[in-house]
Amino acid sequence: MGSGDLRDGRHAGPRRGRGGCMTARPLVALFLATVALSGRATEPPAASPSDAGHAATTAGNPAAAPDRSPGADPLALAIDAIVEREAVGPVAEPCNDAAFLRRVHLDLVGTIPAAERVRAFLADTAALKRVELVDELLASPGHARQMALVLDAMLLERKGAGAEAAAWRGYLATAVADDRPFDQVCAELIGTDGATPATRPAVTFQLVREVDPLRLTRSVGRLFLGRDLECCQCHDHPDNADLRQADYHGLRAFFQRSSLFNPAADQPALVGETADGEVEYTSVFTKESAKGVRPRLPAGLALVGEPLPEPGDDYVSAPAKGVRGVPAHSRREALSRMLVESAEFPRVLANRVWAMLFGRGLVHPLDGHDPDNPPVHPDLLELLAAHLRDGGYRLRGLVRGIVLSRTYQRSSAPLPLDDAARAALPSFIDRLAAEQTAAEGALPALAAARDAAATRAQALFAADAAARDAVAPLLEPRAKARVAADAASALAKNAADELTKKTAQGESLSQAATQAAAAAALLPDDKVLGGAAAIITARAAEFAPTLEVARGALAARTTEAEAATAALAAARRAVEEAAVARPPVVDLTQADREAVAARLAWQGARDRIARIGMRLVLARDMIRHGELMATDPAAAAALAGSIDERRMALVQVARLRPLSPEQLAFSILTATGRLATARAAAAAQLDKEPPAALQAALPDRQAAVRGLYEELGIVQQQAGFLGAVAGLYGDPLAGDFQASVNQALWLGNAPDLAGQLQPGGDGLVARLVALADDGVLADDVFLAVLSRPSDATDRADVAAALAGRADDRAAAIAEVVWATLASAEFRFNH
Amino acid sequence: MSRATTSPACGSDAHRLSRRGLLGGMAAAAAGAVAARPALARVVAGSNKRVLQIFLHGGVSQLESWDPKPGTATGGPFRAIPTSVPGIHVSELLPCTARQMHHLGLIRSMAGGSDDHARGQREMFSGRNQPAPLDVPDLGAVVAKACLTDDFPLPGHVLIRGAGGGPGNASYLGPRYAGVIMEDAKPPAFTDRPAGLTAEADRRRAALRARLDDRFTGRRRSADTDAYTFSHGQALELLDQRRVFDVDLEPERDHDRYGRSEFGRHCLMARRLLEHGVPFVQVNHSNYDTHFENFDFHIEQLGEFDRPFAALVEDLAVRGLLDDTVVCVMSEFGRTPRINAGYGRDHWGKSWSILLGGAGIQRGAVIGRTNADGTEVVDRPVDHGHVFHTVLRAIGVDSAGSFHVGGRDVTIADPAKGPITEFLA
Repeated sequence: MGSGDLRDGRHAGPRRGRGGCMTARPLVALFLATVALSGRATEPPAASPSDAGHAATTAGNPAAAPDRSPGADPLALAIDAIVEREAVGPVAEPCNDAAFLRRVHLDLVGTIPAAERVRAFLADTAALKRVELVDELLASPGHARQMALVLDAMLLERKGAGAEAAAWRGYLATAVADDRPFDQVCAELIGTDGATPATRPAVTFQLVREVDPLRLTRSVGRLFLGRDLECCQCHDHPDNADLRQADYHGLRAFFQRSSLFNPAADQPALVGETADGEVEYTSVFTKESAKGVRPRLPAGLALVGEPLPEPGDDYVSAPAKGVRGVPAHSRREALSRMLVESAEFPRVLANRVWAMLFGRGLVHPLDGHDPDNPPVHPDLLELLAAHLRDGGYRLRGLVRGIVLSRTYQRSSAPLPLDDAARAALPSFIDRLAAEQTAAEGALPALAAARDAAATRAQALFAADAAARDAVAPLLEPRAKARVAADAASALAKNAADELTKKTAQGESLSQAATQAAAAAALLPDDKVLGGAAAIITARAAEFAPTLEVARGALAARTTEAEAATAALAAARRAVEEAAVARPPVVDLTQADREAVAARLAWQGARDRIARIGMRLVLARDMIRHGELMATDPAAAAALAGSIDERRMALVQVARLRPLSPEQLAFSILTATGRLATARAAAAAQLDKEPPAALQAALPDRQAAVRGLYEELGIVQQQAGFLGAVAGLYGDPLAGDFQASVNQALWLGNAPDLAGQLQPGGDGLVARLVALADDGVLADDVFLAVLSRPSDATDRADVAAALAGRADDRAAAIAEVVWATLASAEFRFNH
Repeated sequence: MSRATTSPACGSDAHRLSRRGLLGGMAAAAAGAVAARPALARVVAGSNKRVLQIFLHGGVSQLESWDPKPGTATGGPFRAIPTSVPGIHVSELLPCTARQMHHLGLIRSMAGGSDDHARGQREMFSGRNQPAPLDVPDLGAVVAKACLTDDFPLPGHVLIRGAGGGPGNASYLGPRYAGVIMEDAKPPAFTDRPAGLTAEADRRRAALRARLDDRFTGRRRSADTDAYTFSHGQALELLDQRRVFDVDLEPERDHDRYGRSEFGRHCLMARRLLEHGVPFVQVNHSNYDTHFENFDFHIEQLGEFDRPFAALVEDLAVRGLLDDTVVCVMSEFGRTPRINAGYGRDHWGKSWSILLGGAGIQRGAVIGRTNADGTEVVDRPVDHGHVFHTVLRAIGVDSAGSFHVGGRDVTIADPAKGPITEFLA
């Protein structure tokens, strides 16, 4: 799903390495305890018409038999319907079984298939073997591991979670294994403060950004709203009217009150938040400025009806030295809800999943969702977004629908560009032209509706802002009155308490005086007693004024308290009266929603018109190519390249896409046989020291929990290797493909890799050395490394490489294996 | 692949010895089979411009180096000495460098810097105020990006390390431009063939790989597959050029001239790399963080620095390389004019100095001025952003331009700043 980031993670290597070196068993145990628990609680995914086909296949429901008839996945059918209807000329043939097996293994479980798997799949004659394979892979712990690594790179933008890496990956893997609604996961990442053990891993998202409002603003804009608002920190985008400084600061206002809180030295960091703190900004270009910026999603909904608490009511826990602030109303928490309910969220997420499986988003770059960069297939993006939204944000169903589509399973062999390819184009052009005319005709009405809705919303928000401005100066007097009233009430209570005490003392004295006088009267000869009685009586008489003073004080404090309370009531009334002018929250929300919806409807129509235009141009270019072939072959060749690129963008043919660093590392480990060794070691470790959570897991969850442990154990064990690859290769989705000489040097000379090609142990080379027949050996190499049988030329090449090398056959075999590992065919998903 | 959208116009001088062109030509010839240059070759390049950055890690004292204030309360015990440029004086701790001053220039008005090591270093490396929400590449990556040609077999961004220094961040420019580290001037990682693999065996397996690639790309050729197969050829070329990384191949005489210290060896290594056309070389000299006994430490540190640095400048000048090479000597910040109780100086970003010289720079110029006791800049305050622009302009890169990366334009340098134009030749 790639970070789609401009920066692509040179930090990833060492940091990942460090993360992997640390021992975090308690944390792993912790999250796996959650797996075991949530396993019981997992509910079947919310059924919806669109995901009825896949719901039965999720892990929670192993008993229900999925419908695996060809094309049974309604999402797959819908994807193909759109893509094939909109295709310009022919689409590519389906890829062969070997290519499909490799592709789907890389995408779903992050590595090439083992040689025996390739053999078995190619030999399998079942009609539905592709569907069965997909379901098996999606349910496997390897899928959870792969998605955890993808999400890790995407969400942390390859910054690495440091000491929290194992717990963080475990959290993500668990979410994937349970197919947790992904909107909940995302809301958790942003809303949590990390204060409870269950939320510790999720808060990593904020902690790696040091809870810095600016960094969070940029990341959340890019990752979840599909917009890079970076330049809008200082000014409106010079070339893009839809990227405004107000958007940046509106989003920032949600984070402005949050900050990193470091408790005692040995305690983990948390997120603290204050109850106040507003955003203001000035444009460096126009010097326009704004204060008290209202929290608002970029070009989206505003946070309305924020409470205006008085001092004392504003915090659950007020911030102080060493005390973390927890406000009664958290703006960040409000964002976490609003974000996942936004129109952008499902589109951006769907686009990222698509990019993970096709190497390029329907909107590209992934954080370039803006009006001047429409999706290549607007209807398809809408379909995928609706699938997520209506299907409870279960990623597994979305992935299943996509990989079962014909569109995903196309060959990467170049499409023909000949007369047959052009045959249907004239009628296609007529149809598109008609669609274009109709769509353009509908646009003015949509634009008018957009403007009307925007005007309505603006009027309401202006009224609200005016009322807020009127309220604002009244808040401080109210706060002061509240503080004064609270203080006066406290004083009055003290005075009352004092009077009660004094009254009791007075009564006690007076009783003592009466009784002492009675005793003295009964014992008239006892002078001492008489004296004492006189003293007590005198004391009782002396006490009376003290009592009066206390009574007077109470009366005075009570009067003051009543006055202060009255003043507070007046201050509150003033606020309330001023606030009456604020439009009701429900009206604001409604108007805001309508304005956003009307804008999106217009935008959608514009996107469609733009894309119809693009396809018309392509269709005409293809016809022109036919004409140029005869007159200007050079121009025809240049045009053919551009036509191929556009047909690839329209997913009519599969794109060659470089393996991600994780896919590359795992594929090398799989090919050389080290993964099998690592897996055995991880399993042995589980046998030797079965973690408590594994022992505690219910019988029907044992296998799943164990599988996750094994996968994450491998990631931790191979952290050094994974880190080295990630450091060198970066993130190919981040921008464009790069091949560096450092990568090639590593591949050629890294001792770690050379070690994997030694004939020792039970690795690939050791296995091959035992084979006497060069043809069998060639086939084994190609199955193990390139996931396909060798052809005659391959076998001839291998035979030539081994000829005359009887003396150092192991070295010669290692050379052959290296050549396949270093080949372009291995480097790319094809 | 990204490219500069403006034309940095690194104009090359055909009459001058062009090692990069020479090596590049050899590499292209050797690459043979991969005749077509990858489409990612759209870098603006082909010049022989280079940047040498000496980073005095920890923060050198401007008062003991480029902006002495003898006889003042802040000035410390050292004298100022005249240099080869009449009117410019530097600290007496830099006698050799003083004699090369006519090749160099000074900025004595560095202001607005950080007092924090990490932040100051990021700012000086990246030319952007920190913390920046956008992760930005280091100068070395930008220079490599602007100057590298695809047929150049050596890395474009090399960091010669003692201790300290950044990772050579290439950020969004991608792994091709990330810093290659030569720990203690040893060759970069993975330039030793694994035990048992001869050059002949390496070529043999490469030939088999090339045959496999020919068949695969015959069906599915793309710019990406071209770039990938090309990088393998580059790696083999680099192994053939591995001698470039062996400083021991420099004459004994030069080892003596540069001194047998670690920094001397590193400077000699830098000369070797620059001679072979590497566009960006950083040498790190550590550690100038002199909170205690500032003066003793500077005698020692600058004593190490002065002779090799001066020898390097002199050699670059004599060999004609200085006309193509920008020389920078900088730190993350300067040191407090106030001398503390431990005879130390603390972190200071308010009024300090750096050195720039060589290609594209007005030699013998001094930019800006501090007041009598060095506590404030009184003329032409500049910071890391201006320096970043200036260095790029000095090698002919339009620093106000943008790189086109991942579908968008990203400004090369901080758009709120610009070059110190009067410092440019």
